[in-house]
Amino acid sequence: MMRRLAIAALLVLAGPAAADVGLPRGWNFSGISWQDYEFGTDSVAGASSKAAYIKARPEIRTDGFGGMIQCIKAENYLGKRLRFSARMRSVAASSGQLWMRVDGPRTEQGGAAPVTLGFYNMGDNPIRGNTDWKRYDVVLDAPDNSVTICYGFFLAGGKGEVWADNLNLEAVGKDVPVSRSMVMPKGPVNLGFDR
Amino acid sequence: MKISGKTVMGAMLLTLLSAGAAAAASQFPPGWGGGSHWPKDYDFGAVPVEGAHDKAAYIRAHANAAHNGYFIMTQCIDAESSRGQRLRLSGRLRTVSASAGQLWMQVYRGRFALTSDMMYDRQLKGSSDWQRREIVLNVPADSTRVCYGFLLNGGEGEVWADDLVIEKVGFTVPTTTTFIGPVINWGGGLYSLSHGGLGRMDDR
Repeated sequence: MMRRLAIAALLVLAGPAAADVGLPRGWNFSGISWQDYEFGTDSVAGASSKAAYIKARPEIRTDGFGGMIQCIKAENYLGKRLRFSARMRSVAASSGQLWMRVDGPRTEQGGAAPVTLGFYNMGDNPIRGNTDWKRYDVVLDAPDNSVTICYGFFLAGGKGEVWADNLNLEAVGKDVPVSRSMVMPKGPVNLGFDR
Repeated sequence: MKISGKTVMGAMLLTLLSAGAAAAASQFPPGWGGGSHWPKDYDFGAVPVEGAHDKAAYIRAHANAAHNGYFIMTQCIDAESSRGQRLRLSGRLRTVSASAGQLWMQVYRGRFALTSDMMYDRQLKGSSDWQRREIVLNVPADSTRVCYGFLLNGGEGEVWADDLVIEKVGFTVPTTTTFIGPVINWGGGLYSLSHGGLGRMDDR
């Protein structure tokens, strides 16, 4: 149940457009290709009451992703380690992913560019194919200069459906490891394309 | 790269094999990713070709590819070791009946481009033999990532790239930046790296 989300300060970004596309209250859509996806909530076996879904439409026009996003102010979480968790299932899914991002202040030079202080989106280990309900976690630190925390889940690749239920955001101890993707290479590789 | 007779034979065999493989399924060269809004409109990969050292990478549009589309090949590195420096990306490009072939490089802080050159003013159009192109950008002190590569812009023909080099250059070498304000994040905005190493770049 989405309402169970333990959220102190909700920044409701969702305007009327969000409701129009079937999003649950308090959620907005993310991804440039959200028109290629169907959003909603429904009763489904294994869910507590209703669960949220993202389904790829049959006629996918782009290569992007469609997702549900919610952003909150970071002020109640400064200095804490946060775990965003959900139970998820998938049906013939190309790539279902739970994610969270911690943004810092906007840059002095760029104006419009907040610093990304933490991010993880299961990009290295997405949910594919048919999977039964299973719990997934994203753990990030919210340093003292955090400004906004955004999180949600998305379906990338335009195939199948992904469901999420019992989403929860909570502070956890520092003994819980932070989620990390594979590390970016330090230097260029295979610039001659010979490998 | 020195090429022995044996290597040439191997390369010829590879050409045949790769040509078959390319038709079946495009594959990014190791260490490379990229994509397009219309990925099905393109073939891409790396195969031996005349005038290349060993293999060269290519992007080829299908005949019916969308003309407002592009396909980009991308590699990103951690900016840490280059901060405060000036980097030059150079490489050789050739095109076959191409709408536009371009090298590109952008420097990011998180998800946002700090400086950029997509080589719009030095595109290779139509058919051209191998030509060297270069891009020179500063890597600001707060950069987190440098991404670069090449693209076929406009959905026609093919572009080939070989012998890319990233090197530090002195501040006497002028930059080619076209950055005048917030710009589209080409290196990623919308495109995941197919080899999965970095996850989705739009969120990072």
